[in-house]
Amino acid sequence: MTGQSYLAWAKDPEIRKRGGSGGFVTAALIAGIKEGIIDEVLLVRRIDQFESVPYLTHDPEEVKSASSPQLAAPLNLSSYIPRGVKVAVTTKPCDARAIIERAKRGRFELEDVYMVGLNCGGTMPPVSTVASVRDIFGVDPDTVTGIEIERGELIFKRDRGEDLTISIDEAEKKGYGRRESCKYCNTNIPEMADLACGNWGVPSDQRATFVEILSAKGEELFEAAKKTSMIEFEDATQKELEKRLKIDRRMRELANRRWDEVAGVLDEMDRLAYYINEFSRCIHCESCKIVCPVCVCEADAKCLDMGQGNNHYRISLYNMIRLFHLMDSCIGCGQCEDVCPVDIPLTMIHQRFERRMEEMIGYRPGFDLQKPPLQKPEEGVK
Amino acid sequence: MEFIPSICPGCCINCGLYIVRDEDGGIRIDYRKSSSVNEGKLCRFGVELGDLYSQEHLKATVNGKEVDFNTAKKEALKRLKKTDPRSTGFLAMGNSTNEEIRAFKKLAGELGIRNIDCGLSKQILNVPEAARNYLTAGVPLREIEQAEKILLISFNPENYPLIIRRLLRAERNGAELLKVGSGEPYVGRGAIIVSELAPTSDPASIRQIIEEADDTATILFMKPYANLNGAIRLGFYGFDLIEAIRSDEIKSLFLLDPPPGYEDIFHDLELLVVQSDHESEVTEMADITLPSPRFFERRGTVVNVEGDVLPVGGDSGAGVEIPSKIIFP
Repeated sequence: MTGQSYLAWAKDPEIRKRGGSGGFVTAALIAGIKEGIIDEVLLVRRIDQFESVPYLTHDPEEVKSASSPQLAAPLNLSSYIPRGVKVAVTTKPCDARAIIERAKRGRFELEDVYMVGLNCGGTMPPVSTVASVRDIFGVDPDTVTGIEIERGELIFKRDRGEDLTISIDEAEKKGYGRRESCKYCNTNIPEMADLACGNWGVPSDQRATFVEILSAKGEELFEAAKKTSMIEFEDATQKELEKRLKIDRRMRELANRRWDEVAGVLDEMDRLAYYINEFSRCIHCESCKIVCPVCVCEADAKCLDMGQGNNHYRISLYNMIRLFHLMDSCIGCGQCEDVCPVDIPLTMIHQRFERRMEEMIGYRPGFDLQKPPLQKPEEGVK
Repeated sequence: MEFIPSICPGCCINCGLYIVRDEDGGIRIDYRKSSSVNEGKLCRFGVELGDLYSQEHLKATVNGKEVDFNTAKKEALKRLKKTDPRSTGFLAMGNSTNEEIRAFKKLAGELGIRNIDCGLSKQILNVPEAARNYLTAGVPLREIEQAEKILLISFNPENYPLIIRRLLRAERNGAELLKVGSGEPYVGRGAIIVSELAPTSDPASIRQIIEEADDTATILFMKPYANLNGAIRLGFYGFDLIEAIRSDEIKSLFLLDPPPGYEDIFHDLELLVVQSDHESEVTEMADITLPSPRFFERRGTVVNVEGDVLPVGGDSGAGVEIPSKIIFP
């Protein structure tokens, strides 16, 4: 069954209606609880359209009432996974990659985590998204009830009044739209998760989820959903499979083009001077380390220990150590850049190193349990 | 895992954040990216706020001995009533909510004490009354990014790190950014003028900034504590208490939520009553301590750098009730 793809949807009409694309994810999570496969579900609880917080529950009713994906709430859920319990979590590709990296570093057993992956075309910073509703459309952001990106269009749904639509390209030219790190992220389908779900490939007249089963754990959840009669499904057709891959290919092309634009600028300049200039603003708040899902060193970290006081030369040892540490591990999730109080383009810088390392050594973090090569001593070398 | 939306009490920016209570009772912060003033970003103070909130909670004491709250409250009233109002002061340096400051001011009034101060009376009183609204005028930080000219007058952005990115964006957008020292000439026409209003600020410089700014300029005075904007707007000033304590003119003091950095001036007071949420060097030297809820637990509001009235996030009214209960037991 692993490797199979289906179009699936929740049998419960309410779940099907509420779900982002047919409600399969909600149905599978509830089935997982009912069948005793998982103890808890980690999801996001919506405060409003522009704010959500992580939420852990084992109550099927709470799972049912949870939100569909929140585009303007760029969380990385990997840091909220509890240790020692079987937990299912809805994951964007960067969540899933972070979970795998954290499992490698002993934060929890990967066997305990069921990753229900969601296709992702990017998330948006909440504050500028609120501003975009006001600035582009002259509309009160409080009237927005949902946000979607569909076929290159950014759509703000409203209960009262017409939906507000602008092409994502146009919004981004105006300085709004997705987070910078999402614009150049080229992993859109969470192929490292246990299930990959989304609406890519689904015929436009059908309310269903395209589900790809990627592992035995994914199979377990799908089987539970079948067994509890939570879902209905049909095999995905070749046409639907191709359509999904075509969308993914197009998204990756756009992301790679964006990456060439962003990172290519550095090829033309004195890069050391650029890095020194950017890192000179660092106020050593350590937020980038705190939110980094692949950094698990905590208070005894070398970057903190050696980066203290006047132990600096133009770029502080804190930043130098983090550069080396993340060179083979940065998954490009953008959390560091989100919280940097002095706007250092941290994700771009770390990704520039990581992507070059990836080309050199063929290792891509967050896809499997292989250890990061730079942290693994070579056998026989003293 | 409970997420409580709150604000940072570290300065007047009042960055939005979450206080997270873990299952084991631990308190830590998390980043609230939907907060318009800081977009989830925090300086080191904000990052370490969980440590502050995890400190030992202040207990009710009289002469260093732990007592129940009612005993401490009655003793505070008894001793405050015995003092000479002319040599007694009420000091609230902006680490409290608007509601707490209002209740504190009311208690001072009921006791006939006129010596009230938020630590800025010296600077405020030096500004003509009609121009004092400039001291607390809110400026949306987004406007800094779009400014054509920014003057930083005797202002070090590193003391307010969340301003740095706004200045950087302004520069990228083509703004002219000038640093001006105290007394140096400048042309403020059409500019956003950023300076600092702190207990250590030179009163003459503050007045000069306001007097020399014409109608085309916007003035933003950054302030070092959570709610000095609220304290000023509520009229919690009138007497330079810090100087009067130093010169022994003030013998008795009721201190609301003291910030660190002033420990040395309270040693010689005959009576020191402190209302605070955590133990500190100042509470250790107090004759009477009255515990209030931790900042994020308080039901109340502050006025932030943008002039917005923000809820602190909690649901405890105890900080407001303490002054009320002292006078109306």
